[in-house]
Amino acid sequence: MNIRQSSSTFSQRGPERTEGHIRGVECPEGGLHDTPALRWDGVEVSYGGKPALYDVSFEIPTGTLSAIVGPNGAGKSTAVKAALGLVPLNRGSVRVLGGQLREHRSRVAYVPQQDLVTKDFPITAIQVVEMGRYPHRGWFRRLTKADDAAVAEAVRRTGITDLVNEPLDELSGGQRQRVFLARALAQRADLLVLDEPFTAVDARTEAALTDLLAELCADGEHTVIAVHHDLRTVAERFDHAALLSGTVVAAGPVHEVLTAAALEQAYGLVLAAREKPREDPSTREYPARDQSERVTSAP
Amino acid sequence: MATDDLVIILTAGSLATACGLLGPFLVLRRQSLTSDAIGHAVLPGVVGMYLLTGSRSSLLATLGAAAFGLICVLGFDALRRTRLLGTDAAIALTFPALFSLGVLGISKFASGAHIDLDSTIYGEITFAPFRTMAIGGLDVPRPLLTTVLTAVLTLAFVLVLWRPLHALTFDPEFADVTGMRGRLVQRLALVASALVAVTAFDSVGAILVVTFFVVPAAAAHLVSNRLDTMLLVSVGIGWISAIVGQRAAVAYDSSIAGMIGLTAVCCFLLIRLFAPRRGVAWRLVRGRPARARGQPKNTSASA
Repeated sequence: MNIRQSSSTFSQRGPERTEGHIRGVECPEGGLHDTPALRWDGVEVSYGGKPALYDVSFEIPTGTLSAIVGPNGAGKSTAVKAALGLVPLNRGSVRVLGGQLREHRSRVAYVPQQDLVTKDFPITAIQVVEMGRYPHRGWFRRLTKADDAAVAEAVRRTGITDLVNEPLDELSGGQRQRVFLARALAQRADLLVLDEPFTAVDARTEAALTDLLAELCADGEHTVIAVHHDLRTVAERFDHAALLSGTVVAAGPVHEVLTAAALEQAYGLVLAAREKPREDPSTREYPARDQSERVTSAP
Repeated sequence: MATDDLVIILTAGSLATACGLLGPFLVLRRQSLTSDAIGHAVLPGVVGMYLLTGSRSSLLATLGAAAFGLICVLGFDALRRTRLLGTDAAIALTFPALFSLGVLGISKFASGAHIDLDSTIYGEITFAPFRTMAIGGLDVPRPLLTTVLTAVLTLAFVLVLWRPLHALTFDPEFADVTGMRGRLVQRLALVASALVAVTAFDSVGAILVVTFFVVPAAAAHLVSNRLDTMLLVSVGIGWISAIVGQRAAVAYDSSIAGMIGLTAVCCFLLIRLFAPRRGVAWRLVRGRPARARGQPKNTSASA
């Protein structure tokens, strides 16, 4: 429920906010790699009249392993949902792969937060992965040999060969996340968007999956964007980051974004916004991992 | 077995087919009570149609009922999408409002007239063989004809929309992002459920409709690892209930709808007790707690 923020957050934006307007904006359009994979322009989103995101402008360059970070209720998930048309924009616009989302749907793979997936749905792991081919085959056309090959490769790369016939609801959190990542890989998309992919995932699986994502981006063609909680992992493994707190605090190469000043601003803002910092002193410690935010409004 | 018995079994079985194909989607999407809600929400349609036309014909009543069935499902779906309240609350908010409207309509304008809901909209399966209509010189029981037609149309609906239904019931955001028209298909599924329910009310009565939508699907859920299996098992349980229930009702000279409903619930209990892996007996024999569906066996959480 923390997705909503007190509007006082926004009145306290410092002048540093302009740092959020980032590298690459001045790049000429035209060359494929000058086109950002995702670009938010003055995006504003609210839930039930309460603002969740305000004046968000930043972009994710193509070919990067990027993270969207920030404290609870910063609007991280909202920012990616706004980009993917899952929540309506009050204001502003988003460009996906240089165009409108509807032009590029099959090129965008999405892994939602686990709590938005029907928990007890009767489905086997391989059926989930095959779903990644639906965007290419529409409502009716049968899956082809090429689809089977894409599915097989995704299964192999995510290391779920032994699990393919298991019911999804009997898998562990880490195994489930491998399956969902396999679905995204099977789609052979250019842009992968993952919302909190590493909650309920053990550290070993997280490292393995992050390796896989980094490998995917290494060709300069694929872009991965993950909403992420673990600032340490982001600093070590990711290329690019956007730090949100109701709006953009900073965005750019990781080492420029995760500075003490920016973090202070992002996390400090939220604490200030809650009139009494009544709960979790751990927030001040910029927790490596935080499970408490996971209640987003279900559809 | 007399022809009348066969008509009843086939009518109930066809209805079980239609409901068994749609029920799993409602159960998985936490919208199980949709059918019961529709049963109440149709009242203003029935009353309004009577007030407009002065006729108590079953066809007109069904049309009025269908209109309000659609208002009910589309209304709660719109309410749900505001995210201001959950699916259960959205359903519970919509149908009492419509039902109240119907009750007011009766008390204000039609208290003198006799609107017998049992005979206008809430049918009784026992009478199915006697409500015949002539087709090409043959007397065909109308309830049988409508339920068979409903079952065929429902099967076609599910086959055509299988892929989007599968994706959106499992992972609605994925369906939306990949352009499967999730919202449209979701509404179509609710509309189909409403139409099946309204048709069925007229043919077999309200209790059987709610039973066939929810109980076989809930039972099938316990033994299925795939959605297609769940639909087939659900339809199968519906047919078993129709056959066993009808025979038992004849043997004990009691209510057919009641016996069919009871048989369906017995099927659920048997499966709950003896299902492989998820059944109670399995748990006792294996000596370890059975997991409820949806709870992973080892949450290798970060902690």
